[in-house]
Amino acid sequence: MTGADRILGNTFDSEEFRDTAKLVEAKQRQGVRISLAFPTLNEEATIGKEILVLKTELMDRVPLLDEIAVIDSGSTDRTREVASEFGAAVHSSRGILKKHGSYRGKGENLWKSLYVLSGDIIVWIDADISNIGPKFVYGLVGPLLRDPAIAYVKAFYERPMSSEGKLVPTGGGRVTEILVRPLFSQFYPELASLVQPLSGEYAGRRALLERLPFSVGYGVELGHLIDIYHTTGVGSIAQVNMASRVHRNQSVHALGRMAFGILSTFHQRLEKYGEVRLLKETGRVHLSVSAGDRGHEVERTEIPCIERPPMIEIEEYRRKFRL
Amino acid sequence: MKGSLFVRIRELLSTAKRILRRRPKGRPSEARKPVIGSYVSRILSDAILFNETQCSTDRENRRLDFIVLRFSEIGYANPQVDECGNVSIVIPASRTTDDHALLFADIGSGTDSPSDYLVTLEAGRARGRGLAENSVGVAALLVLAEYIAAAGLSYDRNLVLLFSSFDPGRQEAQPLERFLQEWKGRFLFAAYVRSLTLGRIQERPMGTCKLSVTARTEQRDLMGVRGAASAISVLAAVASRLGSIRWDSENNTFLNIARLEAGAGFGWYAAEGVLELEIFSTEASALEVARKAVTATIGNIAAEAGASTEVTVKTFYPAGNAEMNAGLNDALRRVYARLRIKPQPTSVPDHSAFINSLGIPSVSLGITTGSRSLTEESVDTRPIEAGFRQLLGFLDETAGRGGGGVA
Repeated sequence: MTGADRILGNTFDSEEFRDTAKLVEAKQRQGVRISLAFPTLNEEATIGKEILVLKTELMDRVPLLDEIAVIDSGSTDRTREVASEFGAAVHSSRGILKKHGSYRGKGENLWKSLYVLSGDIIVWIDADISNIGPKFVYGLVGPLLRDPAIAYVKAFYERPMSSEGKLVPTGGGRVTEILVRPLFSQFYPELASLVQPLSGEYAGRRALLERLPFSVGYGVELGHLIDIYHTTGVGSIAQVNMASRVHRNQSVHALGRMAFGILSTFHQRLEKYGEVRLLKETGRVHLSVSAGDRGHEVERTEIPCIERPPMIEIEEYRRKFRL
Repeated sequence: MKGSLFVRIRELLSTAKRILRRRPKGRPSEARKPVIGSYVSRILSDAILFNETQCSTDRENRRLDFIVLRFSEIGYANPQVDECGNVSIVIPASRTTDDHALLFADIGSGTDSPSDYLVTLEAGRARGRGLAENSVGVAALLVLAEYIAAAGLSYDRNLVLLFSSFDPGRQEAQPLERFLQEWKGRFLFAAYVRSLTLGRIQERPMGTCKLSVTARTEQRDLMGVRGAASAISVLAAVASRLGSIRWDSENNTFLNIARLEAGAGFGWYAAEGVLELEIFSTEASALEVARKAVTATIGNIAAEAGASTEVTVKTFYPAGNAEMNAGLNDALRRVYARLRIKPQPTSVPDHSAFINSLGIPSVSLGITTGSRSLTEESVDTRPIEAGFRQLLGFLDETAGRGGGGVA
């Protein structure tokens, strides 16, 4: 069986795990705790609904989740107040592991969440989903509770369109199809069968996550996949179809910056694993061109490629979790 | 010394308060009841999830699936689903009786684009098309079933919880009507659980007559019209004339111009159009008189303008009997007094008026407050707890626990 086949063999539909009572039974039998965290930055429009629905459905109605937390990067809107009102534990990213400094980025929030969360299984969900439902959580934890060989589960969204009696998949996002899948096809074809490798909803076992370095910015998801590929192998990765996800659409400029960050992480991983050696130092500033009143202008955005070490290497973490 | 004595007294008072807070109030069984406040988030969550459950074809019944699944999750294993799209469960009475009380909510069609029905939530308010129309009512009825199961409540009457749909604008058989026709037992009374508006008491159940008026004129060249009446001017004249009529001295009869659609747009002569209007009345005879008057007026205007018109009765439900509802309304007033909800006497046509017209005492129970406009619907989230308590209080008063209830 090829690696690509292994990932496709670990492809599920969230509906398979709809029976949450069974999941709770499995969770209790295995004696594990499950934590959910939202990395946030100015998400007041959607965070309240996400917390209300997931807390009500998966904590109050069935005890699948043990805690819900928000790790905030310094929102200037009411994100923190709204999250707290609806019952989440709210942490400022800057206030966690203060001694180790703070960077702005989603990956930073995810890395720090490992320190404040108590679960053996960690679920991360982006805070900008408009059509949130419990499937986003039970779909992700289902494979982990069912199969001990699976350690990392990614969500994907596919609303297949019906055309002449056939289902036409809509594929991944723009950055995935234009950048990530071609790169995976060239270097890690096994990972190219992930429908949406960059999806912001995923879950993993703490035992794996604490051993992964975290890119603080856009490259966190890609970095995880390549590190898992080299450590526990593609057989530990699964993906789950969530049917549809409604979220904010990003501008092409924003996607360009994201692609830059992802490419930086990709280069870093290739060098780390000795697969490619770059002979020239690559730029750290993303350049984009936009047309304004005074003609075309170049916009420079610094996108630092900072990596956090595996959490297990942090002394405070080892002390807290008695490792 | 004085200070430390003060501190000690404060500590004693605080301890006493804590102990009093912990003591169960009321009957011993009341102490085991689930906390009602914790069910409010369930209503809101179900309202959101139900509202966003849409599908693109009539063949899918995702809203029914949602209700059936929720029932099975809360322990009602075999809800009845009929071919019309009704889902119901029966919660048996605590004693042998043929008496049934019907509580129902309207699930709507759920066949629109899901993105139109996405809900946004902010402090104290939820927004989204469908929420004020029916989703909060559906959620409240589902959570009522959940609460009754969790609290182990039973009533002196069998409770039938029905999720149905009722669109008086549709000409085909109505699921609610079919359910009532095929029901073998006796309904002592019915309550329509709807999203809006908490506190309203239907004093006079109104009859409804919905009419559709199609106007047609000759097809004309746009530049050669020279004063000839178009379908738009005919229908506008109808709307204007009917809208200015005072139907009776006591204001018991109303006419609403619901919709006017005509013409093909810029550059085209409007040769065809449709006007939809509805007449409401608390008196059966007045409703019929008004319908005849409206039809005659339309005919006269069309004749003057040289247009042809066709009037179709889309729905006709006679006015109900206000006296039949008196006991239920009194019970509701007592509940509102206990919950400190200000009652608002009103007369609007809704599903409960239709049920009343079939000879079943019936009231509407709004769960919260909110608003509906052409472009936006919103519901207030804070009154939902009072709305839910209203449901429980209403059942205590009417379905009876331990010998109570309306006869």
